[in-house]
Amino acid sequence: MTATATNTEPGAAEVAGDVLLEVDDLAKYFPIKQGIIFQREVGRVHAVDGVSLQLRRGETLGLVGETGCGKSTLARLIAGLYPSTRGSIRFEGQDITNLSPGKMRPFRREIQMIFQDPYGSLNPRRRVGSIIGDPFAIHGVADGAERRTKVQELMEVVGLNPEHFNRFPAEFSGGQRQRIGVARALALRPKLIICDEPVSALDVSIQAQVVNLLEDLQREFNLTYIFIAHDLSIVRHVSDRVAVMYLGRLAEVATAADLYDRPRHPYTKALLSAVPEPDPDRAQARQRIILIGDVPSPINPPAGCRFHPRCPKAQQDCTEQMPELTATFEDDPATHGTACLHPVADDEALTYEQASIEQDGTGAEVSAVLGHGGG
Amino acid sequence: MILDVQNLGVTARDGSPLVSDVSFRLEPGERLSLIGESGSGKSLTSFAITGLLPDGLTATGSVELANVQVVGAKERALVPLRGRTASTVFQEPLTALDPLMRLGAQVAEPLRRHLGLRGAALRDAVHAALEEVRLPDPERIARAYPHEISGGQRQRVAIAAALACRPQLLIADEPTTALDVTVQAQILDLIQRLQREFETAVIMITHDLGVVAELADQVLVMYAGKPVEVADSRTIYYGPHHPYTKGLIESIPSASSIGHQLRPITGQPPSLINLPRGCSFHPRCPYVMPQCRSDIPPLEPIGAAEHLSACFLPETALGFSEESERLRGAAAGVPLAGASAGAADAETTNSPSATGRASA
Repeated sequence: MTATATNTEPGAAEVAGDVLLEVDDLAKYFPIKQGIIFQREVGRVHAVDGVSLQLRRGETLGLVGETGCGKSTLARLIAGLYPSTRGSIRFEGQDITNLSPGKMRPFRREIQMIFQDPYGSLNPRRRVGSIIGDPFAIHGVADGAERRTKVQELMEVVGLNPEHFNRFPAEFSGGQRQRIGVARALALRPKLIICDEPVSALDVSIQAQVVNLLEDLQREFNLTYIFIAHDLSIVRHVSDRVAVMYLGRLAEVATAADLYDRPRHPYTKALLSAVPEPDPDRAQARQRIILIGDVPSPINPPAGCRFHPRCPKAQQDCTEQMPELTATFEDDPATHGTACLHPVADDEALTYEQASIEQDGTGAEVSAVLGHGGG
Repeated sequence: MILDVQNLGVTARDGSPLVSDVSFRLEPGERLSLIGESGSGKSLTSFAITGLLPDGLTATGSVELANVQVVGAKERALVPLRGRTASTVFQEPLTALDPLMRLGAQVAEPLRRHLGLRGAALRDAVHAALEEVRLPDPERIARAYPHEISGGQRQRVAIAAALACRPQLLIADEPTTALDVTVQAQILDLIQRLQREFETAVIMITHDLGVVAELADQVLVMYAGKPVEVADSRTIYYGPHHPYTKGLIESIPSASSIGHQLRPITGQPPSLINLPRGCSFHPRCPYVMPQCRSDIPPLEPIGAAEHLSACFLPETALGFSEESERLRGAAAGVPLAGASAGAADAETTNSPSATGRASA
């Protein structure tokens, strides 16, 4: 499990000082309880189950996957918002796994989050100045007039009019509210910002404004981002490396270019092929792999490779063996890790005929679906 | 012709226009996409087509749905049309489905009402409808409640109910926005298959230009309650005339944008209550000309007869020619690159001052 792709990278020791965050075999199980007075555990949701990854200073790691794959839980574990069930998180070399609130406090300044919903994450009854000033108050950094100056500086940095610090969130548009969230996250000059779907709730033309802002801030303050989104084209645009999650585990990790141009995991390939192409000619030409059925329940995840019940290439061994993240093809760089026993070669077309085990779904009719996009 | 919309408008109780000048026609089997940002009036347009406008809003102009005039029609006259001639699939299947009703009963409703099916025939028709949208185990799904199935499955049930009576027109209002890309691909695939099979005309309402590229024959771009450009989808993508359309396409990340800044449209959509004078888009437009601030550009043919655009710019202005670069510089006073850098502060100020700056 410790054999992450980045560990085996040549010269890993030299850049070790540059590793900001190291996550090793991290897991989070949520108990399911039943009973009115005597609650007993009847099951567990395996939200995150053995994730290992490294994050270098100044890079952006994209995290993608379907609803319920555990990407938000992973983000909250790293931010220390949930205690972990297993595994460790090291931040700048120090173990911060399950620290007591007091000991965690200094690290909370370093790791901040930006949330998806700019309507839900800002208290509607408080003025913007006091919302952005919260981190200063909590950590006792600045008071009174000094705090106000700092808040106004921050508003200016994220492109808000500093004179609006006395307004309420309702007086701002969606894009501006997200800027307020960014300002709040930036207040204590953190080293790592976890962006959980920061632009999903915004209009297309506003999305690009916020993405550009995040990129500018990264350059200016040497920030490291974990960027969670379900929009794969935005993830590709902002990320240096991208990690694909499926049912609580990493399916594939690679540089953005490698992952998008040469996906190795059948799930990655299917996910990428499902993204609508904003170009009519290419949309017509491209082959779409339609996945069968829905993501299985994380309460009782499939044995072996988690993806095998939906995988167009699944073989018998996929149901027994849990694959590790490794470089799967000889010419793949060591940074390209794929957790798959039967990875996809360049230009290989995926069809369900390749599968030698029965697939979930509604049987033969569905398994033959290999659509051409558009057409 | 299944649908003929002429000069459709929607006005609020105080008479202020929320949507105006929408005109288009739809033949059986044709696909039209309405695209625009939130508040651009695309959903109101779709509500007006089936006479489902919320209380207090009135439709003006003309909507002929299978030769029945919808605007001003009595509720009683419209009921036979809904679910029979035209059906709508909404964005959020969890709110579109009744949480206290079994799914089978919800799919059965249009079949019972419009086709008069009862008993075993009704049950078989429900199962057939569920099977058609490729839901596994239709009998189990028919007995289940909405919360017991996944979001993608719920949307399939909603589509099954919408298509149960083989409507001639399907209006899909952001049908995949709440879904994952893999499920979105399944649903889009399903809509296309059913559309081909039954010659259903489809109106797809979306803000996702990727969905439009996959699904549309014709595209109608809306901005601030008005259509600003109408053309076939290839023209919209490869040769847009209206700067807003061009801006929308440029602001989505693509293979060519990697390593570069995105080019967002500066500022934000105007409030419908307080529209800027002249062209509604002029405060955000990099090509703005003096004329744009005073006159409202009409929706007129540009080059090909099928291509309409509401913009004063010459026909080829947005082509990638030297002429357009020159024009762009002269018209806006600022090159586009500068516009993206100024995005942040333009958004914070409201439109009048942004206008002031552009004209300065």
